[in-house]
Amino acid sequence: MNHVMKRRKALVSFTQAEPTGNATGTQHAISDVRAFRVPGSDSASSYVVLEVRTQTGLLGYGECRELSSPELKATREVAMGRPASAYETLRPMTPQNAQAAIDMALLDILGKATKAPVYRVLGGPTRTKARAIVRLAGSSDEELAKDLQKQRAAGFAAFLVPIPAPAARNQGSAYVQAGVARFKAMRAAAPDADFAFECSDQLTPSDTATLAAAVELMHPLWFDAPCPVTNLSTLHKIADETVVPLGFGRDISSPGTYQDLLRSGLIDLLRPDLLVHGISGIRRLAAMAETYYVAVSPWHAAGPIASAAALHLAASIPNFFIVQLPGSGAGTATPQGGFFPLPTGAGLGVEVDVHALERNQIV
Amino acid sequence: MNRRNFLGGAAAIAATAPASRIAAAVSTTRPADRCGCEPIIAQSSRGEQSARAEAFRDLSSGLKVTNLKVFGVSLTPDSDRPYVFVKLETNQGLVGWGEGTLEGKAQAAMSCIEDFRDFVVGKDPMQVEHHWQSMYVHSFYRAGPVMGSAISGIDQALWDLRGKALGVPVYQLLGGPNNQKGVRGYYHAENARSDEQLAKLRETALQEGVSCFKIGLPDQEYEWIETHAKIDRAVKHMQRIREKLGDTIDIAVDFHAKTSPSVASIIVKEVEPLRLLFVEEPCPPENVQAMGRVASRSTTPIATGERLVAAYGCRELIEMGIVDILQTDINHVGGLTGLWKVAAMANISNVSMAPHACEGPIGGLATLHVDSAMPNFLIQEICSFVQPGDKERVWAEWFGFPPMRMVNGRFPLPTKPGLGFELSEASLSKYPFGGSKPMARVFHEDGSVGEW
Repeated sequence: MNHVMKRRKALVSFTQAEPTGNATGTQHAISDVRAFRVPGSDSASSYVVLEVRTQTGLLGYGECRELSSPELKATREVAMGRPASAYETLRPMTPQNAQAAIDMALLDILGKATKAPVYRVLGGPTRTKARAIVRLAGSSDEELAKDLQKQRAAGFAAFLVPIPAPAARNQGSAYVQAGVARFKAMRAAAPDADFAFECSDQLTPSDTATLAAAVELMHPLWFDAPCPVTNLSTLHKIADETVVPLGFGRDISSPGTYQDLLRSGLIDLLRPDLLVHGISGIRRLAAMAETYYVAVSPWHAAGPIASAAALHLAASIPNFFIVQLPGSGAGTATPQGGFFPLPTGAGLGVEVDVHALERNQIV
Repeated sequence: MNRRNFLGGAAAIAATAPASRIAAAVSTTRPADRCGCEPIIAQSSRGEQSARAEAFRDLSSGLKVTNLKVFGVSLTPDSDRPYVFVKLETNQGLVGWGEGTLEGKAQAAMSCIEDFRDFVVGKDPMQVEHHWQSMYVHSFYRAGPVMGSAISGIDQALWDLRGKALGVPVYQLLGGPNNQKGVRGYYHAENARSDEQLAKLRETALQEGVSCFKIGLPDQEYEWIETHAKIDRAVKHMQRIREKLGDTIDIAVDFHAKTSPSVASIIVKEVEPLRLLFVEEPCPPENVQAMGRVASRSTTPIATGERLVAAYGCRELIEMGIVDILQTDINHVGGLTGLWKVAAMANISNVSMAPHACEGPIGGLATLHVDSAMPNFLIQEICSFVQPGDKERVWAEWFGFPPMRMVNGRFPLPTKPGLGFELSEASLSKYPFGGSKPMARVFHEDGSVGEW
């Protein structure tokens, strides 16, 4: 065993929760872990539901992006017999892909065991409702304006507007004009609404700076994921030339990258994925961002469990700004006046119909 | 070692013991209530240290502090900022007054002043620099706002005594005045809302020679990221004030740290053409680099510093070139000593001073003395309007003259020795201490905690 491996093993054993045999009080020892694949319309919208069962008969649910059979097996081996309360301790011991789901599931159990919503377990609620934003569907200004009216009627007041798709790198005047025209079209269609520009990593830093400067006086809420987060020095081009707030995080998995962005003054809104960081991971990011007066705007593209987790997260931190939840349909929270109400049930407060999932159980 | 020092008291006598007997000597007095750092303390025993303090006896001025009194003074029973006044009495009948008002935390500041009783009672009040250092350094954890306010109160009273003992106004001890006519100041103007009120304000200002006003942001709270409507309202608010007051009156805008650096960056950049005198606290004070984000994105001068304690609290702001104007508060920074040191360091970096004053009249008058000896002084705040109100009437009743009222746009300097006023305990007793009351608590639309 090399030096690094020894150190890692020492770290893991340091964080290992004792099996519940020696502990006092009701420990809700984990007795089973199952996983079910939920197919989506494409690979980006499929996800996995993780179910954790305790000896005391409690069930907790979480969602993650993908989970292989070996990863499920490894997760089960780590979790079996350990106290369900140990969500912080077990998380780093489980495979990366399972971490967000095990975090949500254990918090769900902890809430059910204490008959409290997860945000109460975590010291909330810090707010009475969670500000909502929704991505507009469509590719032309007309289609987007049409969806805008639909989503306004559905109770949203803030909207993510996709930028016009750039045809190539390093756009010229016509492209910037198209971007400005799109923003103006949205503002004209709903003067009292607010818009963030969703860029989906499609721009270069200089394109971002140019487009952002062109719409700066119209006050977009923020530019979302304008370009990939790589060499931070290149991002200074944006923040030096415009004061439009910048949101990054859709492609960031390492918390250290957020710290680098914050320290460099390059980020105005953290956009962590619930399915990458879980509730606890984002709470840690939020704690760090708070010291830079920067807020968190979580998102995910999975199901109702992660959506509930996002709302509990929002109500457990002081520096939450806005949440982006996927789609609509059964079990999805609907906003009122631009805000989602908070869940009130114990745990995550989501009823999960396992029978419907069992066909797609991961074995 | 001066042999006479051994007669200084029980603690001094302990110092005569050889080093090996020190631990035993300590254990006979009290059970150990220490942190387990006896080996460190034993290297320089407490007894020996007391003897060293006594070593100043030969250099004593003869003036000695005989008593310390703390007063909580609430102008109204529900005031969130009862004045915390300190009175030091001496063996020669001179008394010194200081102020350690800490908004929202009056009782904490009063208790902390009591904690410092032994640092000043029995001591020579002329040694203010020495006592300041002892209060700060010997408190080990360094000073936050509670301790900073307590030190401020005692420091001001010590300066008052020293000025009185030497028979000169304190500004002379500091090397002033810059200007015999006094210190340039500004009033607040948040009460002038309508166009008519603003026109009237301009007229009054021009008549009375007032050259600057400060306003606030139009909304009570701002989110981490803000909407078009609220950003636009803030910008238009400032544009309207500039339009109504004209270009010859300076305008400062207090953001009061309601805004995040993200939101402040937008507003501060957009109001550049208004050429404000400064924008104050565009974001909260803990993260200096975060404020630097705002500062580096606009030509608008940035002012901050009212919540910072001691020169240490301002160092990073100054050395990183983030602040243009420091708004040190004499009631929190550590009194005249603290304010003077901040100003001295700021001057080296060509940073200006616009001291904050939103508490009582003693701190207000004390700050004028330091202002008048600062080469980098810009302007002095007072949380008053151009028309005096109830507060100003009480102040005038206490002092027999209207403190912190401008004449031709300047606060006249006190002329009497010390800080320049007489104050009787009896006059304060009409305004009994109503206890600590919290400051404003502001919440966002979703009920979450907001800056105010």
